[in-house]
Amino acid sequence: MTGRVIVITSGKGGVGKTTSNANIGAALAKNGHSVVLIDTDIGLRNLDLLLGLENRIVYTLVDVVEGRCKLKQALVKDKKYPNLCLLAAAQTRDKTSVNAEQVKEITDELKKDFDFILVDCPAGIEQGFQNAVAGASEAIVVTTPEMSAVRDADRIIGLLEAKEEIKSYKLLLNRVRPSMIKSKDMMSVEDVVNILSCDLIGIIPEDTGIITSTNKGEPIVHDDKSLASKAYRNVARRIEGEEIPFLDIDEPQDIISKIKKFVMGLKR
Amino acid sequence: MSKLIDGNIYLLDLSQSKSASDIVFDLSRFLDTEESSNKRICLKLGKVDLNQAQILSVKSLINSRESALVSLETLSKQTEAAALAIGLIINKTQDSSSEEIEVPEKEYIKAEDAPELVQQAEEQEGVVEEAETKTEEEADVSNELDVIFDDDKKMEKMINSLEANNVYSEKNGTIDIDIPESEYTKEDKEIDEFSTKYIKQTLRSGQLINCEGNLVIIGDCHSGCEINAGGDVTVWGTLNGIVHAGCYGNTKARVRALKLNPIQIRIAGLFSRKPDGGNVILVDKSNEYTPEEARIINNEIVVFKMND
Repeated sequence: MTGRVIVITSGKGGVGKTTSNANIGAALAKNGHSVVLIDTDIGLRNLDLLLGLENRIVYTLVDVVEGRCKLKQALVKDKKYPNLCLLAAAQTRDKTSVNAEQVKEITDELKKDFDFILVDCPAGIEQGFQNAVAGASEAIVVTTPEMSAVRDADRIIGLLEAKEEIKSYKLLLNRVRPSMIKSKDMMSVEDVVNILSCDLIGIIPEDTGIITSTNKGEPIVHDDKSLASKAYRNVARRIEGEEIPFLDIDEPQDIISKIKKFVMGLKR
Repeated sequence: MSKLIDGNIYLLDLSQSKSASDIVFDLSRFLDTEESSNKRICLKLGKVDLNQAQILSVKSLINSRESALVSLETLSKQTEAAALAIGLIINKTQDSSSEEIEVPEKEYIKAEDAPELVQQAEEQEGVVEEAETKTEEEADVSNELDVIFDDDKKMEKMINSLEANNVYSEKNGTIDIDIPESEYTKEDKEIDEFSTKYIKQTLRSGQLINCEGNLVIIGDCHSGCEINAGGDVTVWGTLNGIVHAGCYGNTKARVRALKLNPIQIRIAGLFSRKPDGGNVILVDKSNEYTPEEARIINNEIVVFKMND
C-alpha cells in the first residue's frame, strides 16, 4: 500500500490549517480510510486539542526522531475512529529539533500502513514549513478571503511550485461569509481564485460551531447538521477523487433573495 | 556491530543477518579480527531459524579461535528450542517490532470513588509500620546494604539524567535552575534520600522541568508544561500539566497539589490520564482549595484528598 501524503499549509497563521487538518482527517476516516495526522508545529502544538487526544499523548514526533520510541508507539488512536491516528508534536521543544529528511523518513514509513497522511504545517516559511512539506507529494493551501491571507497563500504557492516533490496543490477557502460577500465587504470566491490562479478543493463557510467543537475536542464533521461539516466532508470526497459541485453556502432564506441571486447570475 | 561489554565478554549483534549463511559469514569476519581470540561471546540473532547442527557449527567456529559461546539471544522459537537442547543460555529479547502502543488508557481514580482501595492503603501502611518496629536491627543492616546498592544505581541515574538534561538545556523554553539543596524530612525514607529543588514561578505551556530529586513548585503549572522528578512533586498552586514523579522507577513517589487536575499523572512506570472532557478550563473563582495527593496503590494511580 502506498498512501498519499498531503501537507496542509497556509503561510499565515490562524486561517484554519489545524482545524482543516483535523476535520478532513476525521471525514476521511469516517469514509473508511486509514488516516494518520502529523502535527509538525513543534512547540505550539494544537492538533491534539482539536481531536481531544491531549491526555493520551506519551511519545511525540521528536521522540520518534531521536529514537526514544518506535513510530508505532507514538501513534495515538482517535476516540471515535480507530482508523484515525495522531502523531503529535512535542510541546517542550522547537522547530529545529527535527529536520526535513527525518520527517520524510517518517512519512515514507507511514505510507506503507496508511491510506492518507495529512501533515499539519506550522505558520511561516521557515524550518517548520520545510519540515512539513519534505515528505509530501500533494498540498492543500488554506486561505481566507482577506488580503493578508491571500498574499501569504500566494507566497506559499510559489514555494510549493519550486518543490519538485509536490505534484499537485489545491486551494481551500476558509471562513467565507456569504452575507459579507453580498454586501461587497469581502472578496468573493471568484476573486480569490483569480488572484491565486489555483484550483479550488473546497469552500468552508464561517461557522460558530467550529469554536464549540474546539472547546469540546471533537472535530465538527461529527456534527451532521452544520454547514461547515458538510463542506469538510465534501472536501474529503474530492480528495478521494469524486467530483462534487461546490456547496451552495449562500443559502438564500427568502424568495426575494433567491430571485436577486438568479438575476445577478444572468447579468454575469 | 560488536561491543566489548566487560573484560573479555563480547556482545556480537548479528540481528541484521538474514540467513544462516549470512550469520556464518558475518561471524567469520568478526573472528578474523585480532581481538576475537580468547573471548567469551554473547550472540544476538534476529528472526533467523537455526537447527541444532547449525548452532553447533557456529559454536565450533567460535571455539576454533579459542573463544567460547556463552549465550544466545534470538527472536526465533526454533533457534531458541535448538539452543536449549544443546545447553546454551538464552537471553530473552523482546520483539520490538510487535511492541504495543503504550497509551495511558487508565484514568486516574479518585479515592472517594474507590473506598476499598483507601482501606487497602491504610492496611498496607499499618503493616509496614509494624514490621519496621519489630525488626529494627535487621532493618538497619539491610538499609546499609540498600545504601551501597542504591549508590551505584543512583550514579547511573544521575548520569542518565545529566545526559538528558544536557539535551534539553540547549533548547529554548527550558528552565534548569540550580537551586541549593535543602533538607526535607518525611516518613518515606527512599524519597528522603533525594535532594529537593524549589521553583518559585508559574510554569507555562512548553516549559519543561527535569529534576533528579524532589521538586517543590510554588506557583501554578499550566497545561502544556511538563514536570519530571526522581522523587515527589509538590505544587503549591494549581497543577494542570503533565507530571511524572519517581521518573527513575520509584513507585513510592507522590504527586500533591492544592488543585490537582493534570492532563496526565505518571508515577514510576505507570501512566494515567485525565478523564475525557472539554478543553476549556473554566476559571474557578472560588478560593476553596482541596489539596490532593496521588500515589500508587495496587498498581493503580489513586488521588486522595488531603483534608485530614
